[in-house]
Amino acid sequence: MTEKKQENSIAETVLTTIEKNQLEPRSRVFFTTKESVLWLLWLLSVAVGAVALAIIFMVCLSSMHALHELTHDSQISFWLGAVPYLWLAVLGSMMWWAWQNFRHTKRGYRYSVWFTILSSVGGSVVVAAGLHLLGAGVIFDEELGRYTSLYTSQLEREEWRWQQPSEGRLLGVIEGVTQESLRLRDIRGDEWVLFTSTLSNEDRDLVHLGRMVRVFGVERPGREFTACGLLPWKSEQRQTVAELAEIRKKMVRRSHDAALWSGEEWGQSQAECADLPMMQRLRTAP
Amino acid sequence: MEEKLQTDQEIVQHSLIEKESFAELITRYEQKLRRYVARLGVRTKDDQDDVLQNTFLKVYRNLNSYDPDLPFSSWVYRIARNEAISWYRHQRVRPEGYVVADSDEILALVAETVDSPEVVFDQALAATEVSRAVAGLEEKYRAVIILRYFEHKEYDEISDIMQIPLGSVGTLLYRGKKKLATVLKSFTMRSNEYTP
Repeated sequence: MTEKKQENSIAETVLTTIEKNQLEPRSRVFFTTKESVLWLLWLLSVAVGAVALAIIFMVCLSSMHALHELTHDSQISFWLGAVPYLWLAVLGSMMWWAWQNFRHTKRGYRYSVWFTILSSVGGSVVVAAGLHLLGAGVIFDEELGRYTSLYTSQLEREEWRWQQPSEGRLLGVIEGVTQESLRLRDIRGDEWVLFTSTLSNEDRDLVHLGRMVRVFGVERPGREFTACGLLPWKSEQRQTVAELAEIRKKMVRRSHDAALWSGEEWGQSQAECADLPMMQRLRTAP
Repeated sequence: MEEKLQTDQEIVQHSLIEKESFAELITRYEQKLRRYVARLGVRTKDDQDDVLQNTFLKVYRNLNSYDPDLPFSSWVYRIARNEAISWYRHQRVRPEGYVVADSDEILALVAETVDSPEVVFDQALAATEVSRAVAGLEEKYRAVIILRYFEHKEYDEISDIMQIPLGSVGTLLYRGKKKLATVLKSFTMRSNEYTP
């Protein structure tokens, strides 16, 4: 068979198949749509990655981390216990998906793996920073926690971290105030009497009926609690890194001041406050 | 009057209006692609026909997705490569390259690019041994070596055909050549051992 004949036979077979099966080139709209879907999927994965990052930012750039000594034994246990691994996993999966979608766009293969991954991560970081500044991380986290039974929001986790009276932490709403005590209803609905002689003036400024506060101190029998300090549950506004650093600095200073109370001239309550494990941890904090 | 030779892009445009024009594209690329798929491991003529027919049918169906900024040949080679891969997946056989080339040319190319100048090949290595060495390479290395040294494609064309970044083409070629050099050197040493 000559070369020319061979060429003709393939061309003829192909054209005959096209005729016989009435094949037509797929429309341009089909390919434009396919390309657009890939880009949309890329955008979606970057957006979901950004939500994941915004929630991670919320945890890391909040008093949860700034005052982690109050709720965790060490920095390591904070990272092990408080970091939203689910969201890290979501972020990882989304970045992988973003890379896959990017790679399958018309020219996506021309870019290196690192370029595509970093541009996706970079996109997510920028959007996440915006979401964080708008306070959207908290909203996403809370709404997901509210509407998804399988998901426990970071705020809910923090609530339960603070509802540990035996470990010296309480979370609840102030329902009554006297000269020497407070009446507080915790998030389980139990009523507590808090002795407040050891509170500082700054703590006392937080005392308002109906306000939800975090309390650290010492549990006593019969739903009584010696309050060594009060903290607002959630700040009204998003705190900046500088503000968080200042809050931390104050708390560390307070732990050092508390150590001065441990002498005999001070009462037993002050000594107990000074010896709280969380205060000891703060005193050794860098 | 002599008919003006049309570019591939022009024929693509005509084929979208008049399917008979598509025959011209098939004629232009059939022999090149036949050699290429053979080098990729599709050996018999019947199998090559199958792969080529599927390739051209796919090209036709996807004409509207062709990006005129790319050389048409890169796009058509990419489809042929994918079809060849599908073919040997379907056959459930390990792809084995079947390269027939001027062994001196390949040896010279490999020797000038490997790190160790002491790697001196026996120029008497037969084309079949070069073919065997290339065939024994991992698919990714074999694919770039075939495109670069047997199909004489530029780096950007290889990038478009294999849908990998330009940097990866260079890396795969460098590593592929090193591996090829090692295999060829072992062939040389083995043949020297048997020399009386």
